[in-house]
Amino acid sequence: MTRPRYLPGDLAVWLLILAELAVFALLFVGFAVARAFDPATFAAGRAELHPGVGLASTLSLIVASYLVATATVGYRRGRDGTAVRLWLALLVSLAYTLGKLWEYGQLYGAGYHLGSDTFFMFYFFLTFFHFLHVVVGQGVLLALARKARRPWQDDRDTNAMESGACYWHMVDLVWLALFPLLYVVA
Amino acid sequence: MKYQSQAVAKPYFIFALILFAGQILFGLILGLQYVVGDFLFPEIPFNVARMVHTNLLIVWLLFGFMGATYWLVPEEAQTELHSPLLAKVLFWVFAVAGTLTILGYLSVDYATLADLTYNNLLPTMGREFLEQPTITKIGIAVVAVGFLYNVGVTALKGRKTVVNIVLMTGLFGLVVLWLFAFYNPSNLTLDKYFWWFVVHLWVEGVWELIMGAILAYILIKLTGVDREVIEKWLYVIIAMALISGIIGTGHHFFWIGPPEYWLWLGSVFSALEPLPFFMMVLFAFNMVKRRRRNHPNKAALLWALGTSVMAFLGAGVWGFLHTLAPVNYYTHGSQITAAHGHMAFYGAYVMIVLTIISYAMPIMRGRPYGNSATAQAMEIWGFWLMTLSMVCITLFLTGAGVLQVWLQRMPDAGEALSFMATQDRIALFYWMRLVAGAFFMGGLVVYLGSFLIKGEAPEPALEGAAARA
Amino acid sequence: MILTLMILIVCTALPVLLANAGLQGLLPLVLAMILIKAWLVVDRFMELRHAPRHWRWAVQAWAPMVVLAVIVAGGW
Repeated sequence: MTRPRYLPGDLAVWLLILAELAVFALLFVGFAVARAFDPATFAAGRAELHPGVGLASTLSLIVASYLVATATVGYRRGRDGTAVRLWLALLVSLAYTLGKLWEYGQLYGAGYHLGSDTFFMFYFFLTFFHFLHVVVGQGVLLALARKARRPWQDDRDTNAMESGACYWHMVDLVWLALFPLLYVVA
Repeated sequence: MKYQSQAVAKPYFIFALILFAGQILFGLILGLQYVVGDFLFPEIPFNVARMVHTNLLIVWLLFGFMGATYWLVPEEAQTELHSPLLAKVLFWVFAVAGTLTILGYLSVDYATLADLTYNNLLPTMGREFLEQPTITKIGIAVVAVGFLYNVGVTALKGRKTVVNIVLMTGLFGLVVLWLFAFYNPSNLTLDKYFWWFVVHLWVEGVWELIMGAILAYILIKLTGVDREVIEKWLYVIIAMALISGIIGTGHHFFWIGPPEYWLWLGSVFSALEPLPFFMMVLFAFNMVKRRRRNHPNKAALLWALGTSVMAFLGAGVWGFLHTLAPVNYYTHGSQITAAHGHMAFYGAYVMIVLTIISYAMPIMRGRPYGNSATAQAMEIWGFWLMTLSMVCITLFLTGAGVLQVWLQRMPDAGEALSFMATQDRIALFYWMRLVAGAFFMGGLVVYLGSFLIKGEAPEPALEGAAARA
Repeated sequence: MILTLMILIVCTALPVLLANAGLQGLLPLVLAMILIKAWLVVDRFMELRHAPRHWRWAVQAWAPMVVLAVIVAGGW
């Protein structure tokens, strides 16, 4: 590698990403501690979840992240198709959104809520907190897709695109840890 | 001074400092009453002195925030204040109402004060920090709305800077949250919720926005670093303050009756509350390192750096110390809370107000580059005396708190000391705290004395043009 | 990028499918998969491979720290 080392996106976004990762890390540790106190409740709670839907949500986030990553590289190099990739990413990520809402509906219908027990407290809080991040990320993708439609210029600024993309990948990264912890090993 | 109307800040700052002195005087009375229980009894019993001490703090900080706002909003917006007259009228309304309230606390007993002010029509009295008679609360709301209108119109008609937007957001939040002070449900748990919506969301929410905005303004002025850089930091800091601070309210819900999940949410999110304060330390020191001018007002720069460090220690570290539910189970309402409260309020809010006063007062007194070297040296003496005294107060109270938890909270039911027996055992810490408090008063006298020294800092030879900017 | 995507998909699906097949003791596998996936997302998607080293390691450290903390705190 001869090209100079370069941090994509804005410094402020990276500080925000580190802060967000710290929030989720603390929540994961809390989850692990609480599970150690009461493994039976956690096993029972996990059995009520829908791993198929969880898996589909995860895959949709991964594919969306892939599309966003290639869109960013293409945008930087002045290729066409950035906006299309971002729209596609948004569309694919809706599978996550709908899947989550469906599962909330199922669980709520079965009588589970934030106050049911410690497992469901963590389940609802962690996933909903993450859900809100995804919704914000979808708004970011929307804004980026609209911005990318504008005609290409030599001196255009890649800062916003990279910053938004990195935020999106952070949301993906968190889910990649969150999904197995909640759905697979709890 | 770029805009004549900025001068309305002056009476606000002066009155704030007068009330500050009153607050410290009552702090000393309280400190003595901790160890000599019947000092000044029955004229000024402990509960009254405590109410005066905390209410004066809140009111003088509000005066300070208002002064800071009247000072920096016109300058940031690059326009004169909408109505200097309204600002002057509201000053007198607020000053008279505040003074009458304090005199009311001191001259009649609390129940009589409640009767005299028709508390029964809309009962809002009797809650810690919100002890003000309902009529005073209404007065505060009216003054706040008038103030918000005045600076809001000013900010809207001029240049919209991030500093102004963040400051106005913070002030708007301050006023809106105040309205919860009028809601007083008879269910004690519900009452506590709404009480915290005022108390917590003020000091761990919107006040942090106000502090961040003032700090950003001062750093722009003193370091000459590009506004864009400073604004970016400000955004990140307030985002973190709100993410951690809002759900962090849960650390007050641990033992008041709500569902168990608050133990987790409160612990996790409030564990992150030190982050925005840590960012402020990085922010302040980074901007000073990258400064493009050496502003002659060294004292103001010291206050700005000092407030970031002390806020991080007092609000961040000392807050984290007892915020996790398993720890708080033992430390709740002990002297550790008092230690945290003292250093957090001093570090975050007292010092940020003194920072803007240190910067703005000399300019309003016709000294555009700051006070004379002698006056600054004296002010810096005041800074160190007050700050180190506050560090000592905090350490002694922490010592008292740890011992209190050890004797009164940790042992099994039959073996734990009673509250009062514990207090006797930790009296030595209280004596040391009282001595530190006396030194704090000394520091305050030195600080106030620095205002009496004449002369001004000379215009910097090489970078006069830059420093004027 | 497409290779990264395929590895991510495999790493995500594998533990779920094995768990569905009734296999026990999957925890080490699950945790290892988290580490691999996080590594790929940070280095490739976030493009931190070419970023200043302290930033790369600051973000790369997150997943191992979470996994370690989860093992220690959870007594797994």
